[in-house]
Amino acid sequence: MTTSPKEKSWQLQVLLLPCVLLVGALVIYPALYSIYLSLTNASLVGVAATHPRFVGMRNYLRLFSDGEFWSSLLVTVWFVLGSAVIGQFVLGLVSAVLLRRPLRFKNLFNSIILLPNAVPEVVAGFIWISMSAGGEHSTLNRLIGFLGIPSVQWLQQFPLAMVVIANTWRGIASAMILMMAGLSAVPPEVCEAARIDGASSRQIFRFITLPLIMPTIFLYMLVSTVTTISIFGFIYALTRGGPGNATEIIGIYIYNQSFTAFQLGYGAAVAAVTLVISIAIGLVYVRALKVQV
Amino acid sequence: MSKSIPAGSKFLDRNGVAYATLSLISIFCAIPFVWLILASFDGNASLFLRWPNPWTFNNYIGIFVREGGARWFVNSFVVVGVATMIVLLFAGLGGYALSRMKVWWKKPFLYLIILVRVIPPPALIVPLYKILLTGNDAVGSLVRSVVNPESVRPVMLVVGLIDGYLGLILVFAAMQLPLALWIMKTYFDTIPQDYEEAALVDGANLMQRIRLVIGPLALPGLAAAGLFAFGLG
Repeated sequence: MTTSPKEKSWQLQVLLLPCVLLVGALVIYPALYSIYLSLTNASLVGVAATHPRFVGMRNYLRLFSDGEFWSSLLVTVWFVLGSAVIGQFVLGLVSAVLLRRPLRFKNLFNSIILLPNAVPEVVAGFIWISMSAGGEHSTLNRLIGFLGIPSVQWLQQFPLAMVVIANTWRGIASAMILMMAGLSAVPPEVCEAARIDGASSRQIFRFITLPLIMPTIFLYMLVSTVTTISIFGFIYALTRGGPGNATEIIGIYIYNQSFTAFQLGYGAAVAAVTLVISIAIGLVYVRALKVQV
Repeated sequence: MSKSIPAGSKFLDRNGVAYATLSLISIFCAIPFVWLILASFDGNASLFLRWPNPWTFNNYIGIFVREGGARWFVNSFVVVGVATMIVLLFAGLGGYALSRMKVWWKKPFLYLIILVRVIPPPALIVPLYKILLTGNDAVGSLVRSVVNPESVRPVMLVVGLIDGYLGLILVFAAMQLPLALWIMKTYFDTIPQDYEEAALVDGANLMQRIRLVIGPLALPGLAAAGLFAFGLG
């Protein structure tokens, strides 16, 4: 009649089985297979496509002397710093703080800021192509035209900056949502007490609110950094890494190596190194989170 | 009370800054949509921002009449809808199991699956295609041995992993499952075990406990997980 603990544990493992099978077959196995590919000279064409040869660490050694890889990594660093760590975070935090006030049109502001989050990444890419197209009739050039500034070939002259701005636009909402959640956990009594003690709003924010939402900020940094590193579709739709290699973030570089240069093995090696870097960054954040909490 | 007037004016002043800042951020968020909306009503739309000339609904009608627009929407709804249902079912059961079980590989498993959000997507294309191809061949030979030859193709459209919905659905579900599992596991952690134990004492078996006790309790968590899976898929 009664279910023994052992039987119960067995039942629970059966319940988990579908998840393990699905994730194992379509996430973990492909990831491991990709690591195996990185140790071979696998290719999309030629002899190596049908009979990949095991080459050990050769792809990884090549990677360290590959200037394009390092420049792509540098572009990724600027991209992540500019859009996720600074752009989305600052604008998201400012919006979240301001929207806590009893303002009129609060819901309107809120929903407008949430809008970009709902756009599929490919559509977002095309929207920004039109925003920043050259010629005096593109949206951005019309805007600066009002100020009397001659038109600019945005994606040719400031490719990286434009990509950073476009990605900031996509991510303000997610930062804002997370920051709002963090802010709503700050007890109002603490701020009230500080106000009675004569603290100014700036002081309250600097010495009470900010330290209290620090864990949320670190959590946001963790999530946004590692997901921004692995962005692919949005930049592929917007610039395909061009002009030249100016916006070739690491996801695009992996794609180009694997499917344009047909070097699957080498592309997989780049992906493996990227994964290791992401995990390392993640561990740093997790450690920082533990110190903060 | 006597300070109410200066305080009030300062309040207005500070809110003025707030309105200005929020307006700027909102304009930044909204401006890219202006072209999208204008161009969608423009008979001769280009990359450039301009007043539609001629104003027309032809683009909207054209999607459904000239192009296979209805088909695209049906495709999206079928793929995302079925994938979300799979995610909810699997993550509901799995999240419950993960929350209640005490095994050594629980934590490693949870951290391993969250890696899915970190892997650069292009790295998964070839391995995924290979495993789907292998699965497709296996399903194909199974189908050929069961049904008569002329109905192999229609059957494969439904159960095949390539050139059909099923493969795409499974991949989408697998990509969304880790996050949903985390959400559901954390959610079940907040539900006391007393409910299930009471049902157990009353003699309910596992299926009854899931259907009558755990399922209804899980609905709010499932709603959140479903929203994430549907929105991100």
